[in-house]
Amino acid sequence: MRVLIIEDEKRLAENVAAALRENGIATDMAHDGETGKHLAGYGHYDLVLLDLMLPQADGVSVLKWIRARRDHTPVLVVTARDDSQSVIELLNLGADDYLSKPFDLGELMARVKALIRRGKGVATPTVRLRDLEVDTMMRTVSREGAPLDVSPTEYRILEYLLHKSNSIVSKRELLEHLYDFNWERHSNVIEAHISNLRKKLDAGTNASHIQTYRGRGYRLSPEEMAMEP
Amino acid sequence: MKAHSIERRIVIAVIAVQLALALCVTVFAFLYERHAQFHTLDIALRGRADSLFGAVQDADDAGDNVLLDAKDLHFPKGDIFVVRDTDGRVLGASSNLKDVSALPAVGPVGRFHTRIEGREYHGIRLRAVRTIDPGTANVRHSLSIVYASPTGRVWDAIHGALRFFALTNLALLLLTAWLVSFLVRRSMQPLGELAREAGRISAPEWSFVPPKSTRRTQELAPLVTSIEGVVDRLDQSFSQQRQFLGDAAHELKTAVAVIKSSLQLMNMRPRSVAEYKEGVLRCEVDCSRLEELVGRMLALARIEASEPEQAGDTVAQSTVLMDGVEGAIAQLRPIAEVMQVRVEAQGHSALAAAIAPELWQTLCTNVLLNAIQYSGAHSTVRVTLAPVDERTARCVIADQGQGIAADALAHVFHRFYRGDPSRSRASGGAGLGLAICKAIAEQAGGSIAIESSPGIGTTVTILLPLAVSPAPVAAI
Repeated sequence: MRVLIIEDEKRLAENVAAALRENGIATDMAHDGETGKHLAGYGHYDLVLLDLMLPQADGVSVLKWIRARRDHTPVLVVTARDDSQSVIELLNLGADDYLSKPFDLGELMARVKALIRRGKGVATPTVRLRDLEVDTMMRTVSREGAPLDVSPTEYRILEYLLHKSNSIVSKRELLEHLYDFNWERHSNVIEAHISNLRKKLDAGTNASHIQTYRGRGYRLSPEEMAMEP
Repeated sequence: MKAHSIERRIVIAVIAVQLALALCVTVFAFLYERHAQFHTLDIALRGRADSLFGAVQDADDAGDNVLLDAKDLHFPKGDIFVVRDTDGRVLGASSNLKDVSALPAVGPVGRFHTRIEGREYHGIRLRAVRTIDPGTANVRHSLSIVYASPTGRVWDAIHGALRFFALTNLALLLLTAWLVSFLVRRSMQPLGELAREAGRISAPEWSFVPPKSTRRTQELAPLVTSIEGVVDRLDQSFSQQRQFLGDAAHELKTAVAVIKSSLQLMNMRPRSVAEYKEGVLRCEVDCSRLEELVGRMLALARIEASEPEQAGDTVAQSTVLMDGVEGAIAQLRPIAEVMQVRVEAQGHSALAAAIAPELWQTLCTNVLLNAIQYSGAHSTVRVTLAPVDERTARCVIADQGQGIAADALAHVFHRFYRGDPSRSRASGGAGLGLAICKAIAEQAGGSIAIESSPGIGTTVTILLPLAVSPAPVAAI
């Protein structure tokens, strides 16, 4: 998962980014409205964390701009202004949630995860798929009750595929949503991680959890399918 | 203190004036009536006396005597008269006169007053000559006629008239009192409406819609205008305060949010001692930023709360301006060196202004810091001190920096305004520096202005009143 933080208070943005990264969420930062728009324009974020008082373009205009592009990325507004009128206005403009400063970092994490989940059509933090159970709060995977030892990156790939289990996810999409601009990115890395993940998920079973669609990407299939030749 | 009622005062004043008028009218009416009534009585008496005179006839006796034949004369009841001849012989008297000596013939001719048997009489005394058989016998009888009428009736008439006047006036007085009270109350109605409407004014709405009737009332129009002005100013100052509070709350909340999130981030999972150390250091930096913000806000509040210096006041303070400038330059030298900016100061080193030295230094430091931060490397910031006239000193701080856009220039002295937030946040500012400068300059009775051309540079001009007693020329 990848989150964009648009916040002009650098220290606050750094703290939130650090907390998100510790929760396995890739994070990019923008310190003014224009940069925020530019980054949000890529469309590869699973959530936008938006401050209202921003230089160059304020939060409301960024929000309007995002929604005007028919971009349905969840937007969580964080601001020190907390009069109910502006909350109403923000929600009506298309913001998904609202948190006032000074906020609790734990609450912010929970809300971020909930919004990402909801954005992908998942309601609970624990997701089941066939014999797998993924706890997105604890970031653990278990198969038939037995925990599987997956690396953080493998977990992130699994979580993303899990949230998109109805569609084929391309390598490019995985790259965009799992890594922020600070990371070196190579599609080979994805292939290696998928391969490892597949081994761990399929070990001791006859089934294949992740299907590869050549030239198109991967899919975590909800139904049991025959092993690929 | 007892409240005065304008209505009651007007009614009382009108009634008092009318009462005085009524009294005057009554007195004059009495005087006139008395005069008129007595004049009429005089004429009547004269007529009756003449009638008596006409009733004296020849007695047809040898002595050529005359006699009074008053049988056919009808005089008002109560009138008395005596007719005498030359010898004092009574020719006739009214039947109701018991003692003819009460109306003596002796006395001046004309009107007189007398009192007979306890009654007031007004009378007339005539002397006339009655000629009998003129042309033949030509007997002349000199007669004296005294005729008097009691004044009681006249006085009754006068008193009647007086009563009529008095009653009429009283009735008019009561009518006026009611009418004036009604009219005054009616014309005071807009005042009541205005008071009701003014009573509705309250924070934070500050809406005041004067009733139409009050605006049409000439006496109330200035009041309405001034209430509107006051409400407007209050509204403005309240929204400024609200804006300030909102901005201050925003800054404080953000600063607290930074510290809180730093601490919570550290607490998110167990960390190494080195990580904790680093985290604590970061928190300390965050705390000093918050401290500085609070300090600046308090400084601004303190300066703005203090009374501005009055022009012409004898100001005890006398600060040599160059000292403050040099102090500020020395303080900012490390930053200037890092930014590779030269700072030069020139001008009258003895120039002294009426401003507290620590405030002047704060002002210089704030303006200079801005100038240095927004200057490019290898550029120069120039400070020039010069007197404008005998009363004003001017300090010009000019940089060759990036300048400020025209739309931002109008706001730079506003509290919490940041032309380039990320940059001034990085330098620890909260948009209060120039607001503090403005407050200091105005508190000292001076002014501060800023001009800027983007790409060329920014010039800040500070005008300050000179110290009353010129500082001794300091040795350079």
